[in-house]
Amino acid sequence: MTALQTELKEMIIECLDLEDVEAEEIDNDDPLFVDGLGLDSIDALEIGLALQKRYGIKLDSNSEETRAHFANVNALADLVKNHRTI
Amino acid sequence: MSKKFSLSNWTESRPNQNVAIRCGNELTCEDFKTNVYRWHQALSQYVGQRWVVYHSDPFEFLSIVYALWYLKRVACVPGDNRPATISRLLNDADGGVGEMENSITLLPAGQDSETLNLHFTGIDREQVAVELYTSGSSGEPKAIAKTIGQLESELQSLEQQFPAVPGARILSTVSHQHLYGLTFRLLRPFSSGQPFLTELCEYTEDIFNNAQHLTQYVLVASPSHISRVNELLAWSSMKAECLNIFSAAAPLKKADALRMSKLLNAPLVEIYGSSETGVIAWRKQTESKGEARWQCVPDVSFEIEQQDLVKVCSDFVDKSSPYLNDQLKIHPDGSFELKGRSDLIVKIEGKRVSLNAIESVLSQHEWVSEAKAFSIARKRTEVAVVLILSETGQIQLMHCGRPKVIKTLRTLLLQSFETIVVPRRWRFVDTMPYNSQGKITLASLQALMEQPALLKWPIIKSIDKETAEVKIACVMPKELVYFDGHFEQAPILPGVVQVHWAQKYAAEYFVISGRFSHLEVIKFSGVIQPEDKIDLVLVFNSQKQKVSFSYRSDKGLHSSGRICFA
Repeated sequence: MTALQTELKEMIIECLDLEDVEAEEIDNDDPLFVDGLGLDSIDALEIGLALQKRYGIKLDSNSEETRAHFANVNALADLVKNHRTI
Repeated sequence: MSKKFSLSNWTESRPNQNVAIRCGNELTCEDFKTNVYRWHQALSQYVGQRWVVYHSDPFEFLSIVYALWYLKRVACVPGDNRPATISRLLNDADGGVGEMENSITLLPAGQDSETLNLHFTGIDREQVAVELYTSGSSGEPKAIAKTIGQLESELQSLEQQFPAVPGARILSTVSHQHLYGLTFRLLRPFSSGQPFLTELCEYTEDIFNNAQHLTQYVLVASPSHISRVNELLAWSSMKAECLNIFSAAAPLKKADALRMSKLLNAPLVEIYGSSETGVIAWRKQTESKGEARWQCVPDVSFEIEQQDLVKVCSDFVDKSSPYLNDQLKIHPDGSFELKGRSDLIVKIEGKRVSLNAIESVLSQHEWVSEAKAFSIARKRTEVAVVLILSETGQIQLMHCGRPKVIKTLRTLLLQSFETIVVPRRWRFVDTMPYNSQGKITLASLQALMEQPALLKWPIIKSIDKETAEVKIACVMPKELVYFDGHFEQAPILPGVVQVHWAQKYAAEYFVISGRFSHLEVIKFSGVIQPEDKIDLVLVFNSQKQKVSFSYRSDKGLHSSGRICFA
């Protein structure tokens, strides 16, 4: 697990005020929505805002692409990494 | 009635504008007629009066609904398409149309008649148009019927208050499967000639991106999105003109309302109403001190009955339930303030949910003997539950731990409820927090949530079982209720708990016929502290009916002894 993934997990837990979830329990490939962590559409909005605040990432693609970025922690990490290299 | 806002006679009254925009493509009135006609043909193959309709695409939804209306049938509209929601509605309907299992489908293109053989007349103001299903206070969803005439009267009233500009596009963050979205995203735009985007704006970025291609638009939104708008987008550079922002479904904070209004440089109108009453009132916050008060829309008034019960009077209120569940403070000039709800229905991010319904689904599970659901305001308003587990539930908790038990119960709830309203905070207790009057108060339930969830069992990492021996590798979580005792500086696991656990696990893994009799050779040689990794070994001597136990770790032996049964 890389530092970025851990950082993202901690960001998710903190910004969503999640209970019963520890960063190390979240698998990098586990779906964040529906099945895995069971997050909902409001959580997606919050994560979007947190990404903007912390990493300056603007979700300017369409919902379909955003959904792909939000699929799991690895996908989020890729989004952040790509943003940094631009 | 002015001709302008007719649903029944729309072909004549509707301004000459397209109906919708899907993926950037305009859908014309002719496209709509063809689609209604195709659904009309598909539905004509079946008999039956009541049809469950769920479709996430509002253009399809409206086509299906119109096809049903021309057939003099009723659209039963659920708020979501969870399997349990749909199957419950289907019990009382003739079939389903749209995004659900076994939905009837359009005839393959070419197989339906080529020419548009439908006159688009004959919808009657008195006919029931839709039955909306929403959370009732008994927990069972209740049907709220609306006639065509009621929907038209509501549109008429809105038009008087907020005249619609034909040609402006409609962007929305809310579903048309609920009354607010149905009215503001779909029926009002349709009848006033405002093409609606079929795509839902899931993120505030979607609003921004979609609006880039428009000249004039109206935003139909809710506090969920308005309070989380991304301020860093270049809203001010946008060429498109926002005519109006509507918000409904939940209270919106004044600061959020003003911020959104400023960002989009448009008036923000909050709408107050309910599925039963339709639109009741509106307000616009201003910079001046205090909250703006609500004003009734034209043709709506109140009658106050005994015990301050407020009855809503209008042509479009559901006559069988015209009473408000909200408490109002009405001022002499007719404006009013909202003072909170008075029943067991709560709103979570604008979604109405019955706490009774959540409790009743949970109570039906074999692990649960009593459930208490309530709302709690933290970073967001969410549902929390306090549960008393049954014997079976206790055993599950002991074996699988909190996360698995919660996950199973969540999965059960997701059959019937949308993710947003499913509880996010869980507490397992032995007794409900009754006060001296024998009541469970909201404050006492909420207080339980302020404490971290305490555990009663170690977290099991692995179990090796042979016939007469079992080794349980486990960790002592710091949240164990037993650490919360007398030695706050140096929490340790009491010996009596160690014996209790040994006995409980032994009863699970071995066939013990006798009852607990006494203990032998008990030794406590080293304390067990939070986060210790422990191997609990149990050996069963079936002839003597004795279980030997030992708690060991890297630190050595913590305790050992024998439990005798007779």
